[in-house]
Amino acid sequence: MVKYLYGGKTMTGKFSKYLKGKKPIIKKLIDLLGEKYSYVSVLATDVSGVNIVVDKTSTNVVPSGITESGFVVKVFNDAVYSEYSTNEIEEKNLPEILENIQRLTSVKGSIPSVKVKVLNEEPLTKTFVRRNKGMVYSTDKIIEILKGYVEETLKTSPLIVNARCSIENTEISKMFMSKAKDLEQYYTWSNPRAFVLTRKDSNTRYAYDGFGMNSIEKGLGELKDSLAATAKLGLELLDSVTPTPGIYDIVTDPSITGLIAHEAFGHGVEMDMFVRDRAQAKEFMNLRVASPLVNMHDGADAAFSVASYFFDDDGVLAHDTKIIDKGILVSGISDALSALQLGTEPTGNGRRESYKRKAYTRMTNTFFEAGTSKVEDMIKSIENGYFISTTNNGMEDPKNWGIQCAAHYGREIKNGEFTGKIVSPVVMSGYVIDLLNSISAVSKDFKVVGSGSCGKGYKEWVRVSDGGPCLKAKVKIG
Amino acid sequence: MIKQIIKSLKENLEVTDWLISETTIESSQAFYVLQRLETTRVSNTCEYLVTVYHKFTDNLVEYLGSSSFAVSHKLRKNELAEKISEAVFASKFIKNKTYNLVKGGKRKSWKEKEYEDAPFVLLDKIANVFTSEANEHAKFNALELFCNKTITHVVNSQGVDLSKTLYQVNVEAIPSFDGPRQKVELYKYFTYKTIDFEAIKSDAVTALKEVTARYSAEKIKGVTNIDVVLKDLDVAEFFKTLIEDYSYVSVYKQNTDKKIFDDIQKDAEGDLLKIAYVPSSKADAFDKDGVILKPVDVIANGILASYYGGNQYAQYLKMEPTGIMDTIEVEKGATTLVRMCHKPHLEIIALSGIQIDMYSGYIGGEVRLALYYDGRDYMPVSGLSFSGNIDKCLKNIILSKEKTQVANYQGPKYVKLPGMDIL
Repeated sequence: MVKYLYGGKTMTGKFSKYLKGKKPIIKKLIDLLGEKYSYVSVLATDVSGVNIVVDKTSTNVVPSGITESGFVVKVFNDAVYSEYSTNEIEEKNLPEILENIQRLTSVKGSIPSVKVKVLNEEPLTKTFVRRNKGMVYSTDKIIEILKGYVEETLKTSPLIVNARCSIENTEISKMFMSKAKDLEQYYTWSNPRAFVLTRKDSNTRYAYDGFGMNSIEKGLGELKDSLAATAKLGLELLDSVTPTPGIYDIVTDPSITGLIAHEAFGHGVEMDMFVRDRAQAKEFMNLRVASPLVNMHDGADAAFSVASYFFDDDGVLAHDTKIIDKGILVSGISDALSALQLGTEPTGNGRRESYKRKAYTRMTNTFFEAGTSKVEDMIKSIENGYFISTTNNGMEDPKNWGIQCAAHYGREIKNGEFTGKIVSPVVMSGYVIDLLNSISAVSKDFKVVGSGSCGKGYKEWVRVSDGGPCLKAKVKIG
Repeated sequence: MIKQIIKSLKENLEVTDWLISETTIESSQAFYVLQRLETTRVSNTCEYLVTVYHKFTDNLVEYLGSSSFAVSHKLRKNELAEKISEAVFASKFIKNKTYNLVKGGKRKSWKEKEYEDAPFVLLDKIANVFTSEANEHAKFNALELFCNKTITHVVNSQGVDLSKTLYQVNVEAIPSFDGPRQKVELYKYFTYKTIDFEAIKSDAVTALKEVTARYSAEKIKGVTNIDVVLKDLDVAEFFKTLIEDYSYVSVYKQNTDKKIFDDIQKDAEGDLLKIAYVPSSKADAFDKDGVILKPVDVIANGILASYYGGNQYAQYLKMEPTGIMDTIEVEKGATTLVRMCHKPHLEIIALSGIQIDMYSGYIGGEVRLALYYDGRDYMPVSGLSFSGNIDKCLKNIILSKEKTQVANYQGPKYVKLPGMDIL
């Protein structure tokens, strides 16, 4: 049951009326194209949302970064798959769309095409709905709450130069139609974020936090504590130094565990990379790649977070894929076209940055399974190392298994105790297999953080979550 | 559509001012797998970002609230009116310091020269340049080519009516080398504003040479501290990060405590920096608010010479807006690459991604491929990382005489950062 506080609606609470209205014309388009092409599908998207941002100096209400509304028409001319993206499909421009697709599929290049078959789909008609839980606050109410948090935070210390908090609320309507499928999904998500800038003399530092949930009400509630903790950390970081380069034992927080899962073996098992001969993991199927303590999953259905959709942009239902089982690499993840080329089953990982871009194999919710160790015991076991926290960024190297993971900070541990020293930033690097095999303890505690964005190379950004337990491992910090 | 939006905005009497940005993109895309065509795409879209402004007074203080919404498809009159009303409603609670929208003059438009070839003909020719340089061992496992025509049209309630048409080709290329040992690859991303097939060929040849070098790269041994030479995109990233906190918005939000005339390179012993923001081309004439772009020297002679940025925050700081630009120009140095590299050094060819934190002063990254010169010989190395302190780098930085033009950067092709830690 969705309750609204009216006056500046932040959500409609239902599947896009606009897309519903487009169904007959899309059906007509599929029928017309179906006369000529062995495969035809249309992905229709209507994603709306608002990002409300408040800091000391200003307030901004802008569309969510993933706002989009448009269509992708995909056809196969028995040689090459072609796609036409547009933000208008109506009776009037149907002839123009048909002509543009005809022109696109007639492109004759000098380079031969790959050999690929037609996508076969099992018939499926289904509708999925997941509404935002609790009270859906209006824009003015959200601004008032966020302003209160910022003012409260600024009062806590004269060293806080600026405090910012925001909440991005999105509602996603997607429709996938083909000769065999007719799927609809509606779901929502909220991403609260906190940022604090601190300064002492000419020494400036910052701290940030971000998380996600399917409730504006809960998100706004938790943001208060998040901003307070971020402010505390920002002040602490004023005493931070950069770490001395070296090889250290570390314990990771769930955010860094997720970053490692994502960069180490997430990108490495995206099976469109197998098709391109860009992933070493292809040669390591059913072989040991990590410590026996490591179990890793990915899937829109594997955890409930920002990437928990019901079907992907290829119209394939969400999966929970076990990638690493007790240290053995057992499966990759794939989009429909890559699976077709490899002769495997797609895993529901075909995702687009927007309707304007191609679908690739992409991660969704990626994480290591919880273990049996206690975090306190893991810390106690460190002679000289760090507890590493808060993801900044990372970079994959699926062919050669290099890894770079940048964390915002680390707390020094000597002889099993925190020394009070804090280092920032912490840039970890090394060889994926060395890192994963160095994992010597996995905690019971477990958390998936639903506020990340992931690029493929340096483009094609999609929202992802990652996480897991705390890990004890050995890494190069430099 | 734009006329319909303007009509609806004028009908809402609570709208003080408005701004519409219309973006039309014609994008042709070709995807190659193992040097064979896999997918072709065309994306033809036209989208609008509408910003509604509402001026109001509270406790005798004047505020200008604003709220934006996107329009991606045709809307009925009542649907559009509802979106505008919602934006006005939100604006009433946004107590931002007041400022004036950019004032317009005559309607004006700028156009870059269109490519001679039709998009897919051009993409096929470029793909051919890359694939024809491949050999038995070194080839491109993946090539993704994008040819984009972007028309940006900005209109506001104060008479701004400007449009620009820009062209760009982007190529993501993955060169790889296959031999008896473990296969290797590198990641390359090229941006071409104009088409010069010789330059594209040179990029393809260099990419294949570099991945061939990675194949024979070894771990570096016995080196803990050395001068590091960065090139091309890493140099661009370094300089962009160096000046990002000197924008009006950053200064207003106190992200930096640096003042105009502050020394950015204290006790400099190396080259003094001159870094400017410039439009990416003559046709790239205005920004999202309709500010006509003006080149601005942000750093000159190692001194912070000017802040830069858009309309709103320029007015808050009582400065002239320069417009929001994304291309930087850096003055070249006097040292040739040969002179720069006569002592032992590490020339970085590929990083996982350069890591720079201006607040802590950290610079570093994981090195996927570098050329190590020990004073006698060059050898390709990988599997290491470098790190250092930005202030120390700036004190002794050396800029190359050789220039480069890569995505949104014109300036020295190489910079030497002294005394970096190696692990």
